[in-house]
Amino acid sequence: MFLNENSIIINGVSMGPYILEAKFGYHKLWGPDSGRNLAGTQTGTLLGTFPKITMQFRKLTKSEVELLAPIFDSARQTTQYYDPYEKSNISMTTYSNDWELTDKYFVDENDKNEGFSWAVISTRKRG
Amino acid sequence: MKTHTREFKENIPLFGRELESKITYTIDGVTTELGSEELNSVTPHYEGAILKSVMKQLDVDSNVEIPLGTILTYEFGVKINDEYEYINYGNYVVYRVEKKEDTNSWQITCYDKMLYAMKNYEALNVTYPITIRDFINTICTHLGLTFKNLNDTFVNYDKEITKELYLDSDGNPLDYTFRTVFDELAAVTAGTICINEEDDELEIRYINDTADTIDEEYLKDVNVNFGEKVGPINTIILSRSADSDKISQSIPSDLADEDKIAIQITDNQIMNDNNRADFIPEILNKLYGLEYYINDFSSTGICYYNLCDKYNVKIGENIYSCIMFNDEVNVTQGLEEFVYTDLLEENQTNYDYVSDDDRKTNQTYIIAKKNEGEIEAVVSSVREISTKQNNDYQELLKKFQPIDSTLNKIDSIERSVIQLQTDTYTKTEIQQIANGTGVDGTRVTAVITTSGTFDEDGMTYEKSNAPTKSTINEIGINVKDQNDSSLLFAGYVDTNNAPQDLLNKYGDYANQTIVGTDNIIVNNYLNIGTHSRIQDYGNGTGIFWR
Repeated sequence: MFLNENSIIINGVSMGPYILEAKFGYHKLWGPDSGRNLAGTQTGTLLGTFPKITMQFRKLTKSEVELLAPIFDSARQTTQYYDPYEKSNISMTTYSNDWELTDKYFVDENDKNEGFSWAVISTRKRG
Repeated sequence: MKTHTREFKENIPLFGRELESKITYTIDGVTTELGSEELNSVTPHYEGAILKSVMKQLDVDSNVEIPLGTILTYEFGVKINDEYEYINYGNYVVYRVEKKEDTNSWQITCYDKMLYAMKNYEALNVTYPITIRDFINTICTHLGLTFKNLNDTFVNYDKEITKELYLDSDGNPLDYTFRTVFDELAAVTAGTICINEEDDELEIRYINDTADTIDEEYLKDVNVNFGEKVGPINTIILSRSADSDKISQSIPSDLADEDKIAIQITDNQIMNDNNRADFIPEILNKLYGLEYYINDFSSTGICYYNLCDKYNVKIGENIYSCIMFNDEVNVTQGLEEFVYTDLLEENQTNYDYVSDDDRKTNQTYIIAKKNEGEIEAVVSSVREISTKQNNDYQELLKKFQPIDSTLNKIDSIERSVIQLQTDTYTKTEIQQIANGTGVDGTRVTAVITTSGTFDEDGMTYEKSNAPTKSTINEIGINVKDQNDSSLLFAGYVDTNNAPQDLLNKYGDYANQTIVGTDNIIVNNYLNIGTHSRIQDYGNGTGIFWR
């Protein structure tokens, strides 16, 4: 949940000032034994709930992109966020998707890059 | 059953169950706990049977290497109300560690402490006679195990072993390990000898009726098979080596042969002497009524049954009573369990030749005393061959006599074939001889026809009643009359090689080339030397020279 500007901190950088919205996903992964048993009942092992945070970034200046680019490019991140199930801020190791930047004209501190979306996914199950 | 709660049983088949594996071990005072982060897969399994010893195995795929010889404990957990409830699979000894370079993990094979029995039987500090119970305890002490039933009474616990059975008279080992001795003791005690999961002690485990029932919720929707029912057991048979000298006892004792459902114990050294019948009653009482269904099924996971647990499987209206003898639990990211129980080895016994006690009969018996390296045989009497047997023999002779004659004929034919093969040429060989190539130096040396002969003397044309015959050879042409006198010879007078008739006529011209005949007709001219010629001249004869 996004409670204040510092509800999402990735690699020590608060994402709050740069995003327009954040979507918090709690994805269940199931084991290979999932299916139906002889009674027809669905059965299977829950491997865990893996949180995912998808952020919509606003238009960013040249220096803002330069600040955030190393985070976007990293293979692993340390992400802190407020988890409603845990009812507290928790830290998790995440991996991320690719990011793309669209420029419609020259970019500087006044003329910005277009907004874009970027997500981080936990490498381990929550809890 | 392994210690577990009702919630464990209820939660394990549920969709969304959460599982955990835990391996704990201590090395040099440092305790290490491995969980799902370090363990890629864990597979505890065993293959057992009634009247046998069982060694349980644990296969681990781990991201952490565990040293050889480490004693570890494996627990399997199911999440119940946010906490994991673990059931204990017991202790195992790391036996083999292999690095898997492709996955950068270690494949670790472990066995329970029955592993200590997997060595050749050795001399024990035993004073005979010794009771079965004390004998088992002595072996356990020797192997570093604790005997759980040391103070218990069990089947045949007080029967005695009167002498060393597993070493020869010089104290050398025979072909036994302590594990195979445990197998024999399991048969003597009518149980299954194994390591207890909770306390690591060796125990004699009997069938434990859990009165527990599982249903379709615990079974996968594939590979669920139930076969025939084994039992109910009412007879025990003991036999010696080579399935000989059987004795049996039944409940009731006068049970008809066709109603006997038996378990047979074969070639057990402890129950091998003539007092072996004394062991049967307690075994029979223990196993009497045993029955279960053959089964082979895949489960979504049960996990809490132990070896020798008796349980029920309810599928629809069918209820199958089963005994846990073979089990494999495969814990990876999910859970699968494979359970099967085989049929006992078929027993086809002709009870006509089976008594209930060796000492009551005068039957011939043979005891193979492996430790003493001898065979003790007692023959009660030599009986005369019966008339029936003799008649049978005569019938056999009559039956097989024609066959014997036929065999003799076949022998004769075989010899003839061999002779034929030795004395004749094949088609190919004949072709080679005919075209001059020859076979092993054999070539055509003479051709004889109705009109002549071609041999080493030359080519002679000759017909019956013909006035002349002609021979062409290396010295020339010789035409002879019927008296073998030369009529015409054109050739070389070879005094060494010419036939006598030529020499008689032309011996004066030895070593000369001549043409010799009685009459010469010259139709045109006759040249003599280089200067003379005789030929017709007008109506006369002209002799010309130059």
